[in-house]
Amino acid sequence: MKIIISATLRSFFGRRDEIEIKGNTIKDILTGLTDEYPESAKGLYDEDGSLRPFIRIFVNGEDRTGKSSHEEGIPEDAEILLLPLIAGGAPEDERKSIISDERRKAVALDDKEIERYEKHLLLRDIGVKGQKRIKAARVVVIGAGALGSPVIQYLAAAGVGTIKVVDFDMVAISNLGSQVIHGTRDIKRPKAASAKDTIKNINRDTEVIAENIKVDAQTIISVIEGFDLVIDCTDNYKTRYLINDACVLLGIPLVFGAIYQYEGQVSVLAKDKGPCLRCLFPSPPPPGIVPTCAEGGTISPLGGIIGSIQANEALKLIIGIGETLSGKLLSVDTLGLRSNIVKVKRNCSCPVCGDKPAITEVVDFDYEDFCGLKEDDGELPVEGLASEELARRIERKEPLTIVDVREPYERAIRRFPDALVIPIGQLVRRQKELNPEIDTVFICKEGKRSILAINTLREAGYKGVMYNLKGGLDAMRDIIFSNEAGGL
Amino acid sequence: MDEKVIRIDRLSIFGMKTHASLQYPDECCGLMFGQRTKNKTVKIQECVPLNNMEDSLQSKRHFTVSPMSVWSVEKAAGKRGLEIIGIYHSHPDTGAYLSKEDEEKMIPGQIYAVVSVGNEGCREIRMWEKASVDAGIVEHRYEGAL
Ligand SMILES: [Zn+2]
Ligand SMILES: [Zn+2]
Repeated sequence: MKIIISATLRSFFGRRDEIEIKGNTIKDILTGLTDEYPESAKGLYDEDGSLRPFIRIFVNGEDRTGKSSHEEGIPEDAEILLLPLIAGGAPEDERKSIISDERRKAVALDDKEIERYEKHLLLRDIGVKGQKRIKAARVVVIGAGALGSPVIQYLAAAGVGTIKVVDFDMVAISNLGSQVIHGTRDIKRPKAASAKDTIKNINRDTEVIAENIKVDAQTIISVIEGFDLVIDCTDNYKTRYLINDACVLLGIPLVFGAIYQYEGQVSVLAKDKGPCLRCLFPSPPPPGIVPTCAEGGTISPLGGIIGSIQANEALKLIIGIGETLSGKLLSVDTLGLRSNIVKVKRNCSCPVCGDKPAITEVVDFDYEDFCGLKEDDGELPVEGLASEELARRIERKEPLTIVDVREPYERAIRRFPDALVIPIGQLVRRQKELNPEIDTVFICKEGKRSILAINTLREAGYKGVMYNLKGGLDAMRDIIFSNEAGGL
Repeated sequence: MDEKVIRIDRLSIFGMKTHASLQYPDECCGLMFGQRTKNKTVKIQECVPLNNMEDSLQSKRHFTVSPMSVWSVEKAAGKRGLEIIGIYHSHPDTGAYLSKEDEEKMIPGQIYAVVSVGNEGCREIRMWEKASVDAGIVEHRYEGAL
């Protein structure tokens, strides 16, 4: 019988590619081969006399390596192949946790904790080791709003040893619709302090650091330095880029989450040279598409869905299990109930995490400019109008056109009476609706998109006098009109 | 074992790296073909990607190639005058060194190239060989050629 030998195994048989052996079973063939080439025995068999794991015998395309069929007869004209089984693997132990073994070993779980974390300990891939990593972990959550609510509560419940909560805001009644970490009694309290109370209520053992400060270029480094993981639960691009840059510069992995209306996104950034936010979104969405100076509306459980995924990613990173969203962006659409994951690669020309980064310090960066919230140097300054002045002009019934550039769903919340409604994206097309002879005041929520509106119209050639309502509608909130005309 | 001189052409390196990146975070594997010359020089001129038979759960950490597909690739390359030089595979998110499993399953006389690959792309390629069943594993240096 003719045995054909793969080139990978020919070194056992004097580099022969074919060998004639007498017999009609696999057993005969193997005996014949080692009789003719005694040296091959060492190649074919291990010390116990079993065939080596990489040896495969195929008869007419069928694997006959298993010993059970070694004595079965083989047809005379069969094609007999001696082939390699090529296999291998990657080292197992490197699916690394962000918490080192030394830190894991430095903590212990007491009986009470073993009882409390039973559900984790029952999972083979978490177990005591994983739970100790969770206990040793130090995590910063920036933002104690819709996303921060589930993130903070789940991390506390899961047993994260140290949680820092950073938020400069106070709890408002409008927060209670989605920010489930706060309650009615917390209204007008700092969100950070309210979150701390909730954590302590869940888990007295958690070390909580509540920081009631605004995250900016001056504070961000001290906020996150020395922590293992940062979770971005903020609601605006300016802060997101700032947190991203600081995390890349300090080498701290970041779990990014964002929600808008009915959709959300999650990713793990700046992890082991993985992509960062600027690789994902080289520039923020163009103003006018997403309100950059207003908090967009969201359906109540959306923060719960996205935030819970963030918390889960955080725990995976801490324990060192599973496949994280590093290098991937998860998008969830809760209306269609669909989700998808796109792969994202690190951009080697990324200004922060690229090969030759232009950004090497958080302080040097002009986020306002980057987010398109600042006038370009070349542009004429925009004339601002204080809210009191606008109120006075309305009261005196001076001729005035007021243009509300907010998106339709924002106007439903707080309407500005007698305003002409033109969302920013339609301004150029609808500029004929404006009378250049009459002073025109542009309004939005915070007075930033309205600057953009004015610059856009100016660029389009509109010649009339335009004012920007300084501070937007938020600044009008406290203005009291002396008659019903304003009707705010 | 004497150290060999391995010369690998740039296209083959490129092929291996591309395969490893495309397959990331899964493991990739393939065969290297070329020529062995008398003066201990090994030339790698072609890299052929192979399918990983492991299921989606295992393919992150392990690879196994169907012996029949190795055979058909090997035959086709033989017709082009190329002989099998060895095997390459990737280590997603881990270093370019042989795992315990790699060492256990190593076929003597074949050169094993390991491509360390991460999110950012390929990090490193290293090559080893176990000359015979009872020889130790030796790392080979290689040089890229045009
Ligand atoms: Zn390996
Ligand atoms: Zn980047």
